[in-house]
Amino acid sequence: MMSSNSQPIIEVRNLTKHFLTGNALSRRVVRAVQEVSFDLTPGRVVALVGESGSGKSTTARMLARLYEPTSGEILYKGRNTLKDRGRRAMLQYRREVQMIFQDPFSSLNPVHRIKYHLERPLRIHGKAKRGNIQEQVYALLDRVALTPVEEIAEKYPHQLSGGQRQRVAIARALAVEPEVILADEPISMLDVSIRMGILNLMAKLRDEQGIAFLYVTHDLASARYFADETLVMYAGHMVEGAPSEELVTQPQHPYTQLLLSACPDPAKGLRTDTTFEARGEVPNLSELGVGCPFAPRCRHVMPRCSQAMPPVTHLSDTRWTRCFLFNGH
Amino acid sequence: MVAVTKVQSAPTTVSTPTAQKPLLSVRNLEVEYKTGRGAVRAVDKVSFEILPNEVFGLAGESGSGKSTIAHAITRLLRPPAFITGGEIMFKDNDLLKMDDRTLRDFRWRHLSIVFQSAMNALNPVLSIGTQIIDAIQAHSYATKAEARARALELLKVVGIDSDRIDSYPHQLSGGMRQRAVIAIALALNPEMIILDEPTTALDVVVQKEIMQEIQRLKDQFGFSILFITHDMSLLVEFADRIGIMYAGELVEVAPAAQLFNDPKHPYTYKLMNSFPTISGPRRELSGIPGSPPDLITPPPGCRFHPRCDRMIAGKCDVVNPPLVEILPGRLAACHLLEQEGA
Repeated sequence: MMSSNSQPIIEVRNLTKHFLTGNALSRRVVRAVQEVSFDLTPGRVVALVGESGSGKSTTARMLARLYEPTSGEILYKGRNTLKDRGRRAMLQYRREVQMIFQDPFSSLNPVHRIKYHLERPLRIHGKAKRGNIQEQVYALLDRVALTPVEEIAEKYPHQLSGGQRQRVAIARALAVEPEVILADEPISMLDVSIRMGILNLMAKLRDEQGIAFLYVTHDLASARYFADETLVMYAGHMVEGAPSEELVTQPQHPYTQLLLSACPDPAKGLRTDTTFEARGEVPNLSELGVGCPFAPRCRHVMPRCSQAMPPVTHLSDTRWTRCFLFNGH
Repeated sequence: MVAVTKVQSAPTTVSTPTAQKPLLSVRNLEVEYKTGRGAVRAVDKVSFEILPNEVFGLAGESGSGKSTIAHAITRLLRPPAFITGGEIMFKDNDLLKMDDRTLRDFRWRHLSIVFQSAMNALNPVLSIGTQIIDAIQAHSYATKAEARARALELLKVVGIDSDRIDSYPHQLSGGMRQRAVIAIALALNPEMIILDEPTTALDVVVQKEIMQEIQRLKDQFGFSILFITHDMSLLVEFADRIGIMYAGELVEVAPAAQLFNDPKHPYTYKLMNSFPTISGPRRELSGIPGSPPDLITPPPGCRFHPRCDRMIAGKCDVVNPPLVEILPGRLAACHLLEQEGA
């Protein structure tokens, strides 16, 4: 919140990713992400929420430059990073934009000690200061509250719990002093009692160092807790964006309403809940038509929903949605 | 929908656990894993009861022993896991004393189980209809035609179009496969179903559909459910009573709403303050510092004391508190609560 007025560090414009599958005889195009646009700003967390197959992880991976986008732009500090060629520019982007993965059990190398995982990025990105690399490793472990640092540094990944391993992954990202962290479901494989510790640690990094976060999750409740702004994805499209609290209290897009009504809520009983009405399943991404992908399941569906994807309608300064219900008065 | 439920609900009122004879009663259950580093007591003197038509939830972190209990009840534990003590009574039958033949007959007919990602346990080269028919014929004397008729009925019951009966698992979505597995579990009208993380691999919308389906089926057929999950929001929403496991022990048992609104054991209290919700006030959550203990060398006294901020030195780190009734219908294992009661 503190620097919500500052300039965005990453501007995503109409980012699209199509995957080709099948063989020479039956080419199929999976439209994983279609024309997605949003900003990441220093000191703010943006959550990307959706079900599996909605395109949220693909979007994060394009930002990490792990997938080459089919079309669209990623502006980093105003420059289109997709046009960058050459090792130096690439290295700089990859240093300043770090990613944390879902599975801390497979993102660390089992044959190397923890200190190895932290020394490596320091050396590769030229952050190692001669002579005191050990102190730098200890300082990193201390920043993610992995103590006693001397002991942890000498351990192997299998000697740590899932939460501790995820802290190592965060320390590794911090080693190169990033400006943006892309966190792809960072807590979904962890036990309930240690999840908040990881989210609170990331919130501290946002507040104290002004790091911009993209938080990819399927869990609306944790997005509400951690993210300043939440964006909802469905079948490759971004359908609604709002300040996180407003999104859960006043969801506007029919899909957001469905998603929210499906979230378990200890405050209400399953039996008494009559608000939930699911209709059909998520469409196959290689058989999408031109219209709104949610139309076949939508209870407000209109003829024009199947003819074109609705444009963005701004509901306020901070809220928007893509739905014909709010468009064309 | 509401009217149907009313007609079929039993005339009894489930008020206290003692008002009815339990369907399942687990007493002092002990399970050990024999490992190279020594024996791990994964389940330590766990006792609880499940009433007819009740949903009993077991919650805990990974390694707390909740799934091991499910495997012990169905006698599906395989070495290196061994049941080393206690008894499991299903009505008047001791499941641990049953011979294999009786047990095989008993399982599925009276007690069935749906595992985590059970949808991936379907045989890929057999149609789902064949697999349901197999389950029916293995446990009853139904003819093939009778079994197929029953399979069609079951698919309808769990919300799958009957023309999908000849579909193969890969032709169905994850949610549909999980429904098919639930259909198999229901095949012989069991009195109790164990659901071990039944929706963990599914998206929330599909999860909600399946949980509502299970709720509807329970209202219709009146079976009991042992529901095992790490998802506290889902558990509080679905279960009637909940038992909280920590490091192999049951530390608190209470009606779901009471457990959520007024947890008594310090671990439960912290657990209930460890997950955000989508409604209600947005507040700072802390989680629990530290991690669960290594069960090869569990801490002396209460197993939670190294992570507990209300630990009484000289007591909690010496004597392991027993699970006792602290209020009517509520059990907890904590020295603080014993003192309050005195």
